[in-house]
Amino acid sequence: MSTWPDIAASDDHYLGLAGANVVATESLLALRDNLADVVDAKAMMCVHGDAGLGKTLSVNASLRALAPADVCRVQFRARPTPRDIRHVLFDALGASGTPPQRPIEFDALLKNVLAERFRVLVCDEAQWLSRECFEFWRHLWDDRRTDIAIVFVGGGDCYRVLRREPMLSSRVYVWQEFRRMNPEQVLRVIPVFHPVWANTDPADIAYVDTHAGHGNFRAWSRITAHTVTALARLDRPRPDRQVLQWVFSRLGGSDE
Amino acid sequence: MNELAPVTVLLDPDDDAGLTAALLQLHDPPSGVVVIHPTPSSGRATSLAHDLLAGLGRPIAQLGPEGLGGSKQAWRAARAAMAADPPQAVVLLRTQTLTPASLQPLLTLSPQSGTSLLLVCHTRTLPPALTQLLDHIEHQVLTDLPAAINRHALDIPAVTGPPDDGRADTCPNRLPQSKLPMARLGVYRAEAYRRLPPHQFAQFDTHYRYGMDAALAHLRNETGGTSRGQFLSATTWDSPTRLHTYARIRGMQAGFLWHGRDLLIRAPLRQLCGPGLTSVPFTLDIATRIRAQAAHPLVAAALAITYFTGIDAAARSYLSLEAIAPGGATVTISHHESHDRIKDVIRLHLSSADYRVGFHVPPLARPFLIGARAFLLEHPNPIAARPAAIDTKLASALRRCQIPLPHRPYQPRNRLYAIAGTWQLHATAVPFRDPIQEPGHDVAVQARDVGTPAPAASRARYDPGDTGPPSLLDPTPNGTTRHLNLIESYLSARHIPQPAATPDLDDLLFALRLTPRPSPLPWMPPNQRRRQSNHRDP
Repeated sequence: MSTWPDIAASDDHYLGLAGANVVATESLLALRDNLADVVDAKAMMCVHGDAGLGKTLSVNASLRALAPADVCRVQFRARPTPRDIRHVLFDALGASGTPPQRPIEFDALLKNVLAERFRVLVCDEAQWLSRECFEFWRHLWDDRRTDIAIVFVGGGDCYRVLRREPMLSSRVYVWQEFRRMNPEQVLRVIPVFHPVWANTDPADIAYVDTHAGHGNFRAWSRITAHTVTALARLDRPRPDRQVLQWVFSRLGGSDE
Repeated sequence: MNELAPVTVLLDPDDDAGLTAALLQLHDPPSGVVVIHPTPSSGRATSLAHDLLAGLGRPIAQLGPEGLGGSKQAWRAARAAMAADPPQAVVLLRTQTLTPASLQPLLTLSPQSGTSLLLVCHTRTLPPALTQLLDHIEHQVLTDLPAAINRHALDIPAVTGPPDDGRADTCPNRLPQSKLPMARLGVYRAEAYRRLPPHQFAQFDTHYRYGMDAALAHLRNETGGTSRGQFLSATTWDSPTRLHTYARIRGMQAGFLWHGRDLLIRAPLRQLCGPGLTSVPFTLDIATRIRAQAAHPLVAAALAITYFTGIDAAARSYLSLEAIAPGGATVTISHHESHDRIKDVIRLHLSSADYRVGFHVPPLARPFLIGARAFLLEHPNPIAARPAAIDTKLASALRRCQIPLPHRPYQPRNRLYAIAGTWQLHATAVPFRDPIQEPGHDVAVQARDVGTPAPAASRARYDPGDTGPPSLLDPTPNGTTRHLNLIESYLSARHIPQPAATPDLDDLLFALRLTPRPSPLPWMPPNQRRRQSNHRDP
């Protein structure tokens, strides 16, 4: 579990990559608009797509700009239960006292806190949630007193999981899918993403994307981190094929 | 509602948020509509009972502390709450997520309380488990929300507000502030007349007359089954302050005197405890607070009883099936469970062997007693029914309600002693020489001419130096023989020699509402008069 206050803006990037910038990709720009609408409507939203496409980073970056004081971000790694979610929310919301034992008391406490002021609840890795867990989120959102918007962020089959739950599919205001960058987007985005690629030959960037990046931000972050290390060790000003081969070797070998 | 099927299932195949929101907005327990939004709890049977209690306004924070955490006790409390405040309709959302074990008690409960039940399944079809449960229950399946709303009359607010007990017109709340006399019965009303400005006297007199008329009505129907304690508490429970209760008590005494009987008060007025004295008027606000602060039906009943009786009797002395009338209209507090020392005290002050005191239950408090009785009915053993340390829980709930009880001037170890000493009647009833017709007694109070001194002749009549007292049996210019018969009865009953004419005579006639004004002279203790009288009043 992690909560919003634990995450600095620099940690949004994979591996906390130093020097990396948040690039205004088309997906991020669309997400920012969608989140603004969801926050206004106090609605539910689902951000889905394969792992590493920048969903979490985009949501975090957008909400930092849109509602920095109102965000409560929770994340689950294993298959949680409603009880787990209650406890995570209890901590994330900073509720005072000890967590109540009975579900009805616990929910009443959480609803009271969530009724105090507007909050955006971000539930990352939503694909891990069971039907009971979604029922719990819906329960909080449907309550007349709570003042919340909920953003589900999930990879893999998150869309399928949420879609099969009528309780959510009828309530989610915006569905947004994150897709891989195509080659043109890569050539436009990656030089801005990190200074190490700023003066790199576009052919080399396309070469990296074809063999290792695959339009995936997380892969590009990893490649960038290794490239920075390689340039420092090889004392090169910019990446070239030799540097990239060294990087590929650390990623599990070259596809050549 | 009665012609409707008790159970309706509403299918919501799209699990529409709008439908849920629309139904949640109907939740209004005072209007008789309770919407339950079940707590996601992996199908625990206890949860629905807790949700039902919460829907009925009970405090969820007290479920555990008051011993309702378990399924059996929680459902007992839920049944008691439904008996106490039966809603017109219960709407249950997310029915498809509940287990048959959870639903079964609710389905059983609904017809018992006469509550219609709307089960909302956010599915395309009826879940098999629910189909099986409803197999032997008359029900209808709908897919249209407006139809369901119409069927259960959910959009028609029920009549709200406190039950009408006929008090509204007879018991005004605007009252004079203090300066009410503490005098004995014979001069009490007269003293108020002399002390208070006319408009305040008029308000004071409303309470005096209220007490007197209530006593007359009670004595006319004495065989109606109402115990003396119930009558007395029924007349005083809604008195706004202690001083105004005194006015009612004196009025009641005057009413009893009309019938040649004494309503004997053994303790000084200032030391009395009980309804209207150390209680608070049982208002809708108090009822609402009790519902919000006590989850257990017995704790709620104990709270209510504490508020409307104003005594600190141990909860075990009234929380039993025998003590609470089926309709919740009366409760009998018995000392037999109390401390031995208290028993002795009560024996000293009660002439009979009946150590129980009956109390009228204010209409707004009756649901709590009905709920307690429903809870006790399921428990063969009242000791086991009561939550552990109920008196401590009661004290805690009293603090949470934040309605302080009036100062109790007299603090015996058990308030029952004071009550027993207070609400007691003299055993002797002296028949009148001639029956008195009640309707003729109501002489309007004559407006006092503040600026005009009393006539000299009037003063002369009560001049201590005057030696020509009329006999009580002699006709007087303003009175009738019947009036004098009454007073004679009153005095004879107390073995008091007939006094000469004194200011007391006019004051007593005024106390009985036989004359329009009292003596113009202020009352003074007999030992301060030149012609002393050993006249005693109650």
